Amino acid sequence: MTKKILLVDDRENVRVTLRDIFEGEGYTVVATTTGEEALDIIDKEKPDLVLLDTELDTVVPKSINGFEVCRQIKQVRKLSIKVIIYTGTLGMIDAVKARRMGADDYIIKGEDPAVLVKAVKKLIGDAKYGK
Amino acid sequence: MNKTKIVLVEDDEILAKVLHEELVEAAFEVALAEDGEAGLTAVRKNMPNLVLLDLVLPKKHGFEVLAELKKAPETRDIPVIILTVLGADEDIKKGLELGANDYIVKSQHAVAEIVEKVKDFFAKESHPEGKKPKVGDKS
Amino acid sequence: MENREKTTEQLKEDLRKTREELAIQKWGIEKTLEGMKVLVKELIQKGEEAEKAKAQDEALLASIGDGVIAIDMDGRIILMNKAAQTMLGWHPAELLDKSFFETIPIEDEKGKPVPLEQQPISRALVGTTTTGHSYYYIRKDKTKFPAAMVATPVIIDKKIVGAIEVFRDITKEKEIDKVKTEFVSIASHQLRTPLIGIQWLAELLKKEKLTDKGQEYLNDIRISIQRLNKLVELLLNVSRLEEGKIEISPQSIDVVNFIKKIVDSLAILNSKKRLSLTFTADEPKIMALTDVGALQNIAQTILPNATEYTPEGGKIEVKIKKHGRMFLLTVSDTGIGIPKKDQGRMFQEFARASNAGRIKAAGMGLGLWIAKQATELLGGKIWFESQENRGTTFFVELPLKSKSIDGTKKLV
Repeated sequence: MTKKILLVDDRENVRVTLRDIFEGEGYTVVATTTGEEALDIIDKEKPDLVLLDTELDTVVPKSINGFEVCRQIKQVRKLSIKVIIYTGTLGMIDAVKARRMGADDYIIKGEDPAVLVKAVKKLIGDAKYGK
Repeated sequence: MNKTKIVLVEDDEILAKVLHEELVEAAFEVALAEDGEAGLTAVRKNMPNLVLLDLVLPKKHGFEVLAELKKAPETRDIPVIILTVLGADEDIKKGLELGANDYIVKSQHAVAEIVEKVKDFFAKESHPEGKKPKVGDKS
Repeated sequence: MENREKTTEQLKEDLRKTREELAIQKWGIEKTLEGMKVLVKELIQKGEEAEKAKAQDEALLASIGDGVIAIDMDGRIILMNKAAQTMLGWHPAELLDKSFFETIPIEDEKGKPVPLEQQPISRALVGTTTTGHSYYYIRKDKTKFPAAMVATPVIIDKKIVGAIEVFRDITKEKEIDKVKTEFVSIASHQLRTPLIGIQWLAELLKKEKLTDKGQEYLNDIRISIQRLNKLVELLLNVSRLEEGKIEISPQSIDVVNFIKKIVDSLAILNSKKRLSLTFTADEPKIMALTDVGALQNIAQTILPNATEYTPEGGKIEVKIKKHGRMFLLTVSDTGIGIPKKDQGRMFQEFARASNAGRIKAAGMGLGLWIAKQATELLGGKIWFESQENRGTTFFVELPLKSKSIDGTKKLV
């Protein structure tokens, strides 16, 4: 059994890249395009960690953003799943808001996904159970 | 009877030999020269009735020989027929400008034809056509 | 006054909330700082890579032996490498930002300035990649040199933003070409003299008493001489065509008769190979004003080719048609055909089809090149259709009235 990551990003190229990276590290990856989908399947999938992009409304306008998903998971449903909110190189600096929503980490990631991998490992450890 | 004298200036020994033999057989007297300078000497010595002049010659090019012959009063009136290998128009034009009477393109004629041409030349000479009639006998 | 009324509990709560808030802000700042570090690091890296790439490009550009010039849409010079400097005799500082067209003149072989629209680099600016081989660049000191140039447009985001030209000084190549052509010319001349000697001797031999065998050998010698003559003529024509300045002096001839004579001369060879030959003309006599030497060179290539490259028992059809101001000569055969991969280059010098060797072991590959040059000099067109192993049809379309061209040499 490997640890599971739920990845929520509305951009396909990002989903593909991050999926490759994390599956390469041994994790199981489930990916959704919108926050709503993520919240729908979260009980069924039971991920160990949720990776959320800040803006999730380019493909489906008016869909909820990462901060809201985080709030739903952490503060409304009060699940014990780890949550990392990330933003790209040109993302807004909104770390404080992330913290308020209950996020475990907030990553301003550049082009190198290693930063995200490190943050994930810090929170849930290696892919294999038994660390 | 005096035979008609021809000076043949040709540097290729085979071509010279063949022409020489055939012209002699046609009853001409032929003096041979194998380069430009020897050609000039031969013409001045023999004062022939006709000069058959090849163009590409060692020591002096055919055109130079022609020019010198036409400059000197003694040789000026001796008719010259230039022999060319290819019949390049520039050569023919220049030859005629320098004073040659006619031209023969070696690659286009059999020997017999060339000998005929020479015979015809003398036949024309004895009928005045704006040219001074030659007193030389024909055999 | 309200503050004093707050209980210790309330104050403890306030403190806790403040501490919590501070912790959140601190977290926020830390995360932001971490993020910024990542971004800055990446920016620096990108900068270094760009610097490195730029240095590499510059080194590359400097090391390229060919000259490289780049201009923008207004024709201003934005880049010039070392080789270009050296060749043109300018320093880039003198030329950067100046108009290319005003500072670097281009002439053709005749010494006339090349009009702007025809210069390779201007044509690249409007989107056409062009090559030019017979132009001369004028240096700063007004001397000139022949250059081979290739110019291409520079396209960013689907828009043309400028053009780049790469050029090479081909003085040496032109020299070599000239020497080669002169050599062929001299060689053909030289070959002629002994050939004439042999011909004349063979002629004299005929008059001598020879045994029957002797006569037979003599005939064979004469055939060999003819072949040698043809080859020398071929070489001669090639060198004359390469030197240019071929004279075309049209004469009035009956092309039907002309072609028929050539067809008849191939009769023996055709019957030996049991090739059936049909000759049709849509009129019994077609008068045309054309240069005999040129027409000869065309017909004496495509007609014998049909015979040579068709295996025994095959068929050849020769047709002459008049249409409009032109006449069309068609020669079809059921021969070995020309493979598709070779078709594009058949009219080039020394080009032989890859399957030609099967039927004719050696050939110089000059016939079609000469035929094409001759056709074009007469103002006509030559082309073919062919299928490997099925056959070939050559088409020669010529004007009924060819224009005369001034020249110093004629085709033999």
